[in-house]
Amino acid sequence: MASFLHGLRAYAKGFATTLGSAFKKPITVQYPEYKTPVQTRFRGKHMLMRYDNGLERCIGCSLCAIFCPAQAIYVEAAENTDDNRRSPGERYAERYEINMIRCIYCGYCQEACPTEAIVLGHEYAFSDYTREALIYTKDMLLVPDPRKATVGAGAD
Amino acid sequence: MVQEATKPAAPPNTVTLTIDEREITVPKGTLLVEAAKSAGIDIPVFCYEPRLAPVGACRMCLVEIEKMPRLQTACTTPVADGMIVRTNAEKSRAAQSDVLGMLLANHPLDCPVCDKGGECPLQDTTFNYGPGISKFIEPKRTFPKPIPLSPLIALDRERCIMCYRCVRFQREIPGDEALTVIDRGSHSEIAVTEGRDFDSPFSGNTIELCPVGALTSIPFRFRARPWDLTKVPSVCDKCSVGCNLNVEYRNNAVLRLTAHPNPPVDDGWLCDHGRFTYDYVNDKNRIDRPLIRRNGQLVPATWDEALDLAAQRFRDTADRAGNDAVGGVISARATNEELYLFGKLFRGALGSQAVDHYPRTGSAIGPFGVDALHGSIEALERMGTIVLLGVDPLKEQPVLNLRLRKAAKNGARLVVVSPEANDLDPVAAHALRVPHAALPTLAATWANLIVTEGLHDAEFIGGRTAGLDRARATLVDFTVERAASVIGLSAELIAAVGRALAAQGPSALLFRRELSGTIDHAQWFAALNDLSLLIGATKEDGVFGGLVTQNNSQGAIDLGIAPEGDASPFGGKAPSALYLLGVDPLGDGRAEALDGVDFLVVQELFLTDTARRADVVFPAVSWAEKEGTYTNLERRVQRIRPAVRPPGEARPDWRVIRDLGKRLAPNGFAFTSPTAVWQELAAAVPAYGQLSYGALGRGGQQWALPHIGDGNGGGRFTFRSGDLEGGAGR
Amino acid sequence: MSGAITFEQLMPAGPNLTEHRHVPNMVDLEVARSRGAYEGLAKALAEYTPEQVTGVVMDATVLGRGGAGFPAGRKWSFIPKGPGQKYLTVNADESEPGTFSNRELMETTPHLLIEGIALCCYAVGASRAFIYIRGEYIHAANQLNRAIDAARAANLLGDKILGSDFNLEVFVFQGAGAYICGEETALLESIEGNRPMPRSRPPFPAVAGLYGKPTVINNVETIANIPAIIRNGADWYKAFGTPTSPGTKVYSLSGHVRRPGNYELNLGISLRDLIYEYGQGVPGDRAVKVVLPSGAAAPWIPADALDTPMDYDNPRKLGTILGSASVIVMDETVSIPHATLRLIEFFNHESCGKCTPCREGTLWLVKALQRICAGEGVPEDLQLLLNVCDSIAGKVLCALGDFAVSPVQSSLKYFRHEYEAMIPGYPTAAPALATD
Repeated sequence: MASFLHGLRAYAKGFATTLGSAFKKPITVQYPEYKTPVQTRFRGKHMLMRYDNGLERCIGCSLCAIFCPAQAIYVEAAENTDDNRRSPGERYAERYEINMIRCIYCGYCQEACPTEAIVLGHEYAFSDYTREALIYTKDMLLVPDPRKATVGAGAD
Repeated sequence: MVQEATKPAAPPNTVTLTIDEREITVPKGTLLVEAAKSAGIDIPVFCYEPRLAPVGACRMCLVEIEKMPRLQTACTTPVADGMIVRTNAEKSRAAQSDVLGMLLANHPLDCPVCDKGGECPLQDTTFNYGPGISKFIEPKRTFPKPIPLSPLIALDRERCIMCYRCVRFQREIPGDEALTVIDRGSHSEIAVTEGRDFDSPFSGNTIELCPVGALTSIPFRFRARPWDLTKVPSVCDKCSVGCNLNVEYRNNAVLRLTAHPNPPVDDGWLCDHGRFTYDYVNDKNRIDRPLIRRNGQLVPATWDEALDLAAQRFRDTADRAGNDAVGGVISARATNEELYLFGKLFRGALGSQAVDHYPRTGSAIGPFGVDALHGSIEALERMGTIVLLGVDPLKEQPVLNLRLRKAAKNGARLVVVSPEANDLDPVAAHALRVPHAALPTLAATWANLIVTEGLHDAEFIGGRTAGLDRARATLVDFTVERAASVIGLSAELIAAVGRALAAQGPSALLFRRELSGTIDHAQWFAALNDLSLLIGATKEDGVFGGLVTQNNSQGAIDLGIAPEGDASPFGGKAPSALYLLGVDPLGDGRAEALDGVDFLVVQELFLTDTARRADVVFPAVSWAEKEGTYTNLERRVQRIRPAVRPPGEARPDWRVIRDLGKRLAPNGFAFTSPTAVWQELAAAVPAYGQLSYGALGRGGQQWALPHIGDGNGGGRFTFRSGDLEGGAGR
Repeated sequence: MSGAITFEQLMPAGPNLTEHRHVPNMVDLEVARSRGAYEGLAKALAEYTPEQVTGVVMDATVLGRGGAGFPAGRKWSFIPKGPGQKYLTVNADESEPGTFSNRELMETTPHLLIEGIALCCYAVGASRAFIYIRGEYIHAANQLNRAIDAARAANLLGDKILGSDFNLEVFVFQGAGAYICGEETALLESIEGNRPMPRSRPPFPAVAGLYGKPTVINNVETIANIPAIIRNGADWYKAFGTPTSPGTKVYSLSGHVRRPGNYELNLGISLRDLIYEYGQGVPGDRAVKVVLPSGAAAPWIPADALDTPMDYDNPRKLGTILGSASVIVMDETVSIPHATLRLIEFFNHESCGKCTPCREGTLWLVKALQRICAGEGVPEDLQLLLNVCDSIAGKVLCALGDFAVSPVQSSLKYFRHEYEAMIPGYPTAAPALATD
């Protein structure tokens, strides 16, 4: 008998928690219809930034690549010419690739960058079906030219 | 407390001093910076470079020396007995930091885009000795960004710290005035001398000497950061000197070649031809799979198809037209292992004597009975006299030219005899313009002069040689007067130079193997042989030899890759089936070599004219993709290592030869690696058997000449002029 | 214009070097010989061995007049004896601001220098002498060449001079306008046809100088002292000057004085006498603010030390040197920071660029001083200036780099308040221009 009562009490306690939660505001959201806002310093998908005049900030120095603990970044540089000016100065990144599934989103690349060219943004949903598709190339990372874009440059 | 150790007495000509509380004994005359280095004490330097004369310009190496009121530059101060030096005391550290602060004041902060960044002495020294922050708040001195000094080298004047290494290198080592400093003081800049081009064949060395990113390579510009490159030590294949270099690659592409100093061979220098010729390795047009001719067209095939076809046709030809009807020519740039296998394929598997290397020059067997250089490249530095007959090292062995200039600087008297202006003329004691055709006469005349006037070392000639009397009888007609009329130089000059050759001191005789025109090469080599004995070039401290031209010509000679009898595949009776490895007779204007060839196998990097005519084409691999050994002009066997992967299905050349061998012989071709080939080769060639394979990869090893091994006075030499029928070249 | 004062009275002749400064046509050999030229040479060749000549010069204690004050006789004695090529190089690259005494000597009495050269070469066994003359001194070079030609024609130069076994050729080598060529090893590089940059020592020129051979390098005035010493003896010479600084010196007086010029005076004269007695004081009777005792190079002497005897010893007590005795006077109207900037601009412009501290340091000083003079200085700048001076002094390759910092160090030592007044927001801002 005593054990029966003991069991009943346990049930009551358990259902009380359930009942209590049933009337609280849910903490889950209906992803992807609704998204939880991320913190300002959240580190998501990388962006390669531009200056206001549209020139790329990246100078192809590879410091991000050598800092990257996951070796997820690959850079090949080339020289700006008067006809083909991509960044201020002499050098720009001809190829810039990040392996998004290797990346551990530590933000070291952002720390290492001498020109504040690479910035980790707030986007985190970029699943795909192949590994190859998750190697992001420069055109996928580069923000639009502010002089040509009508809306903001990808950042929040 | 401590028992007094019995100090060994310092050997003579040494100096004992104290650096940073450490007692060091070094040879007299050593510079402080070198003495410190020998004790593992680092003194920072910029302008100092051991191979250039010290100038004390950058002031980076200031150290405190007791009893001296001012700080002294370690790079210009020779050691003295009892000197007490402090490199790490407050005063010297402050000076080093101050000087760095000055150097950095106007140095741009563009390390991220600078090709030197990551391997920059200025960066490293700043981290070790520099001030943490700069106090310089003024606007920096600016110049327009890089200007090309030449098609190969760009100059960024903002980065220059005025160490003058480049200017000093050009002036002191190759001896030209191509670079200079213009303007003065804080406006000084490096520039190409007015009216000149920076076209020195050694210009690339200035890139490596530059301690900052002021001089950078244009071909390498922005191709990769230094830390992205993988370095593989190897040996240059562009000429017979065999300079050591690093093959540096990224993503399977060779991006640059840098010096990997092996002082006895190259003194740490590279020529521009060696340093900048690598694009062909990365070329997209390389042959990347076997091709066979079907219906008149070369079409891709599998390796098995191509190898089977080649082997089958070789066997058929041999069976039908005799073994010698199958011939092979291999490039003198192939490795020893490939040469050995090639020889074995023809002589062993096919029984053919029609095997050769290309280009091949006349044999130049020295008085010691071996076709190889007596002495060494390094020994040239210690010569009293150096005679160059018909050779122009700047064109054919560029880095050897630098060694000869160094010898001249060390006091050697250079006698340069060549048909046209020679780069060494300005440093030569005598520069004679003599056409090739007259060189044998000149050599014989000098030999005659020396022996007639008794200028030779009688003890050496009497004790170590035979046949002088016979030779003298042959040479007697070669009078100075006759030579003067043949050559067109004055008799006095010919005699004066001839007497100068006989002067005492170590002497060297370097000559050209292949003279143009109709020359009796037997007489040429006989005269050289005798002259070398008379001037003492074959003594233990001398140097004597004919300079080979290809990176492994010496290996091909050593391994005997040459036809016997009249079975020469080139020039003699053309074989019916021919295997060419890295040889392009059509491209070299020797189309007649292919006359009568029914079946042609070509192994090449590119689809050359010859390859287009082939029935089977095998892709070859470049030197940057294979393993093996080369023998340089001084008998030094050095190992090369693969850096990048060959394109497509291309296989290392030794494997292709082996696979043909497997198809043509029941056994003897079961090698699994080039090392295995080396082992058999070393067992078969006695001179190579003495070498340690490990040493070949660490600076290489010279195989020993038989007459050197027996020490003093053992080897005997023979005069050769008397051996020739009817006397020399009447 | 009264016309009462003649040039001779304005610029009196001295007892030795400038004795014949007013004699017309002294370049003419006959005129010069009538005034005793080459008597010393004839006496030396007839009566003295080379060692004895050196001995007399050593006994007279001729201190090097170029600035360093090293005894000429001792310098000569360092030259190895015996056969072998040796050289004498006369430093006539008088490029220091405020120096002009050599110029007058060469223009008016060239034979005096040539006789001195011959005596020196006889003493050290040199058969070739070069006069490295400042490129702008075209008239002086012409005078020297005329004098050399005449002397050679009279067997005073050339082979077997005056019947002796002594041979000598003298060459005039004109510079191309670089201050650095006044540095003795840069001068040698220039003669050899190289870019004039000082050499690292050792080896010293006495061991390996011009073309790698033992070389004596002396200033024009040093050499010009020799003939009279040989003619009259060391004791005659030592009667002039002070016991430790014997002889006379040509003081070149310039700047804010009424009567600038060359004055040959006994060593040891005070600046006050020089400025007020010979220079006739400062125009407008303004106060002397500071004196630069040796052109731009040496540390300054403030107005309260004008009684310092200008010999080789006393200026050292003030931390400066007699140097070339080219005295520049600045009066109270001078803005010290601006004057300092001007001097540093000179040193930066003339730096050869070989060694880092001088090349980069002088540029740094110029930029910082320009900022201060433009009123854009910051309080830390004064310490920065001193730090940069410390990074230059004692760390450079040649003495000229050491000289370059003296204007900054001296001006900050004596006139720091003038800088402070120029720096906006300086903590203890003093009145704009001190007028004490």
